[in-house]
Amino acid sequence: MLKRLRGAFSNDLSIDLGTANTLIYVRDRGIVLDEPSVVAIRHHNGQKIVEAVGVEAKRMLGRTPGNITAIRPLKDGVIADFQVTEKMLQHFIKKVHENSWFQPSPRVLVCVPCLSTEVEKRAIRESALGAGAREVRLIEEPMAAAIGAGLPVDEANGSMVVDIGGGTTEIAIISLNGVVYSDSVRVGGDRFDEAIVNYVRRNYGSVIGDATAERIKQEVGCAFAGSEMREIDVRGRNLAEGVPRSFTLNSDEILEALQETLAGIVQAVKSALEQSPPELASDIAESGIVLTGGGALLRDLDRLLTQETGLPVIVADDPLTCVARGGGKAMEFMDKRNIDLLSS
Amino acid sequence: MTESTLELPPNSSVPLGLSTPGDYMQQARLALDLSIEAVAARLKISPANLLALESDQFEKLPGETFVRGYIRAYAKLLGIDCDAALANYEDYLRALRDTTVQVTRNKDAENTSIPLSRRRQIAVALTAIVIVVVLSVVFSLSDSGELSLGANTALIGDEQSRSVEPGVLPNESLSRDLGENTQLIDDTATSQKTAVEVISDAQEVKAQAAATIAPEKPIDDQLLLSFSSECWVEVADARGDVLFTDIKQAGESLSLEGKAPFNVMLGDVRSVNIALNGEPVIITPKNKGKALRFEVGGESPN
Repeated sequence: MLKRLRGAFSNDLSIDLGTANTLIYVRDRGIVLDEPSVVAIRHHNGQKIVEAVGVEAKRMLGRTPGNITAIRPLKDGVIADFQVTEKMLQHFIKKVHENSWFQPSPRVLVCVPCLSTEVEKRAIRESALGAGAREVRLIEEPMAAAIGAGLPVDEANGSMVVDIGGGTTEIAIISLNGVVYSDSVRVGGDRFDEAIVNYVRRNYGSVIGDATAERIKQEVGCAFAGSEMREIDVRGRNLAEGVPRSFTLNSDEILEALQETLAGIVQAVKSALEQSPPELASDIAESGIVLTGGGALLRDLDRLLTQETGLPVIVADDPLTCVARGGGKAMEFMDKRNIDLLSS
Repeated sequence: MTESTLELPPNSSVPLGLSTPGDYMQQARLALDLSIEAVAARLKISPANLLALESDQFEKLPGETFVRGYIRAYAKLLGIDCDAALANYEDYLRALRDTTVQVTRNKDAENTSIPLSRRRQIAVALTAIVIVVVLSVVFSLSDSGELSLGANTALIGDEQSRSVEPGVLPNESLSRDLGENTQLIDDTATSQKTAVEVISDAQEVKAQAAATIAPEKPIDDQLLLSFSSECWVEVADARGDVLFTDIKQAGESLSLEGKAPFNVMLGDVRSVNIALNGEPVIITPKNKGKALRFEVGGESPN
């Protein structure tokens, strides 16, 4: 009863609980929160106290003293640390309702990876309820991504979406508001960063942090040979000498570093196309594949997939926020039609 | 919009403001000396879809998301700024929406807001009402006329039987009564005459209404364009014939004949005054100096 009363003063939220970033979309207000899924925890007399969440906590990643740990509570698209995820969600929900006098109790729609197990789904549901949600609904990420990208998901027409997130890459073929085929590979932006760290260690004998690797990926990273050459100066700790050293990396080197990870994504896309029903395959061949998620921002990834699949590949508008925006639209749709868009 | 008309020397910068999104792409492609097939092979977008994109027929493409995606991919391939190409597309769509609303509003104002079919219905209904009223008047009058005549005949009979009464001049009274009756008959005749006049009036109204609803329509409409600065023009009529495609200079004017509605595309809509069959058509897009495609003289979409 009290929750319902508090609910009257709360907004409906669509949450993209991603491995790298968490986004919250509110109807009529758009994306109201976009922060890294990072929590910094201070250990004090055996107790765990949340020190910082989001952007502040990300700044602490790899730079923390012994009594503070900055962690990412989600790994490969699913919850790795239940309690910390709950705390993080609680913080974000409160942040969205900063002006409210009451403790918020919103209805929440959370996006989950399409092949997540019942246990993983339950973990997400319960952490959202624990964070103060009044009602929790789940939607598969690629479906939300497709809706957010503006694909005609309700038509009898096949649409293929590839959502490259931080932890996973979700591939789905959608028709008539349902997922016809879906696959999830545990390859994403984080794997790109790891691959860059390993490459630098192997070829330059230096160690760089994840944040530096991410910066390298964003500035000079590319997925296709023949792209414009770019260079970046990087500083890392030299393993042999033990002192910080500076060196220059270029696009070709990063392409080489990312080769294996990219091959994983290409393979998954090809296998999705192989398994799609012929009618839907012909629809996809006509219109093309749509890329969403932060990974879609990797330079010339669309060109690589075009060349490998022989199909037109386009990047959605504002690919980072597609899932959260799509979740918001899906919530309206579910309210109107009283149906659930979770196929499994 | 043929390829030959838009040839540009290589490496020339494409003026963004003077072209539609499709033109912009086409000019950039021709500047790089690329064929549609070459672009299709690179982007794997079918040549039909590329041609639809270049001729601004966005409704033939799979959807808004794909149109934007194709424009972005195409712009990247041609080495032009993706954001500028998308902004051009958005401006074009906005201008198209604004103009459709504007042209429809102007048309409604010209037609004094009653469509032809509606006017025809009103005329028929009015005529029917007039006929019903006239017939009812005629019937009621003719009924009362018969009654009064009968009464008068009876009266005459009475008078004749009473003519034996002494001291009364039978002829005199008879003639007086007859005079009254004649007057009554005259009244009836007058009212019948009035009814006939009303009928003839109604027929006249009907004829006038018929004249109003079937005005003579000219087979060919005349479109007059006068230019205050340099502007790209393309005009096609309802039959699909392209009447004119070229650049007109400031001070020039262009008179075209064809079947309305005309499909007009202008490079710079603000520099052109348009008149259809002598009546000015006002087009006021909100963004300035942008290319625009619109219809003149068509039926309103609603």
